[in-house]
Amino acid sequence: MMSAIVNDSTVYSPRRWWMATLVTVLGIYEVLLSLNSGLAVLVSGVVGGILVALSPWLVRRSTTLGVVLLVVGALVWGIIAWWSIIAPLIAIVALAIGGYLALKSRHLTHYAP
Amino acid sequence: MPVEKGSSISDATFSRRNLLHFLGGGLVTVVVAGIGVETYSGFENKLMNYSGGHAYDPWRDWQTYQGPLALVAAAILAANPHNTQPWRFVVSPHQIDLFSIPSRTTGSTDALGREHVVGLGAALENLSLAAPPQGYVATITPFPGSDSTHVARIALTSTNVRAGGKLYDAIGNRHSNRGPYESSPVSVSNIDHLQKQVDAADGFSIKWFTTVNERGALGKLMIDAAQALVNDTTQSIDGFRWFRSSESAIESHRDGLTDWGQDLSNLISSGAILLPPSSRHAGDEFWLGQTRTVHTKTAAAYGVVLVNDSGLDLSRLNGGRLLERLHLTAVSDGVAFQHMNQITERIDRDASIGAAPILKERFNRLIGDPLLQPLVSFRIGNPVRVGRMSPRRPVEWVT
Repeated sequence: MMSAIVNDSTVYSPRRWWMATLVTVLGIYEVLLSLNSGLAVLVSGVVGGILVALSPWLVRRSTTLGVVLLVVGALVWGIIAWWSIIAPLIAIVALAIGGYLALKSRHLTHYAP
Repeated sequence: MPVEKGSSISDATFSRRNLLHFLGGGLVTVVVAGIGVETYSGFENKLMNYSGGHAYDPWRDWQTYQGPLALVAAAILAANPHNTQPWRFVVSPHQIDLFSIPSRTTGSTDALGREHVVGLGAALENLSLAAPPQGYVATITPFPGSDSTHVARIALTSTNVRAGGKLYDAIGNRHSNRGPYESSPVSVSNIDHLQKQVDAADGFSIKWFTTVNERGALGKLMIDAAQALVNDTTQSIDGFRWFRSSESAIESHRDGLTDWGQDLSNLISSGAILLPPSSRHAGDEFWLGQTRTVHTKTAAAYGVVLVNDSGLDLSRLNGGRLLERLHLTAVSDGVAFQHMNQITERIDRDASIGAAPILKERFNRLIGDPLLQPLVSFRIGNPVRVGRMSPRRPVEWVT
């Protein structure tokens, strides 16, 4: 019962919900920027952006899965389009916020009885 | 558990923690919103693929046209001053008339109209190169009538033979390369190929500047001319008028100079795209800096095309044809080529306002032949990166 209360109050808290939304917004940015690109950036950006957008919501089910999707989705595109400045910036910020959410999620799960 | 009012220690802790969370969340939100603004700017300005817009289609589809329009499609890809594209074509089944558009000029930057006519000559050369692949023999009559804007009449005679050539094939890959060049010298055979084009052009010669001392002396003069041009507000304004700083301006005008066309690295170009448009003064300083640290510093050689009388429109027109052939020859040999005409721009400006011809005298001393006059100048080298496309008005806009 205690575990359920802890998880509900953290995962669904407005602040965490807002952070997860920001990561999703960053994923949408990634998709948007890639739409005008050549093939490599287009594919990595569209697929990666969708993965980034979904990742914070999947963290609730599986922290590992969420983190893998986030890292793959953000890093591959951020590296391929490193020269654009904005791509690595989006990747870094998405990793930072998403990583924070994942850490919080793992921390709370760990301490839940 | 509800927290009771009056529990001051708990309240303070609770409030401080909440405040920090609130501030942190707010900061992250501001960062993401800021990235959103830049994302929109990047999306609007095609940051990830500068040439994705219709302004660059003429480079991709120039060989899809048939008949006389195919010749026009090649002509509009020619080198021209500040990408003003000062041409108009009247096309009929067996004839094309090339007209100048006097309003498409760089004003005091091309005070005597030299580059304007040279650019038209370059278009004429592309047009004539595209005739044989379309099965035409082109007979060119320069300045055929009393109309000063009627630059040339090209009569087309059909033949059964269709033949292209190295220079024709290079038309779609010809871009001014304003980026850095390798420190290695251009091979002797490459310079020989360029020299042969000059030798084949009646009434023209070329002065090469290949040694360190020669390049240093001409480079210094180019920097001084660039500085003088930047210091001249009228010239600066007239030049800046052709700078297109946003994708919407590029797509609506399909001419002029662009950030991407400066051939900076992708990283630096991206920064320029994401930042607010630069002012005229900042643009001038940037160009001056590039002239100092890139254009003159990494030039492997300079060429100055010489002619008996650079004031004659016919010399300018034929000089433009030669210049285009030189550029196409360089491109087909994998040599980078940049037009650098700030010295003659300043010489013409000085002449037009009655200023002392100091630069002219310095340039003439470097050329070393009092009977010949400089028409146009360029630098060559082995490219570090490929020159980028410039926007072009399509065939449908210029016919």
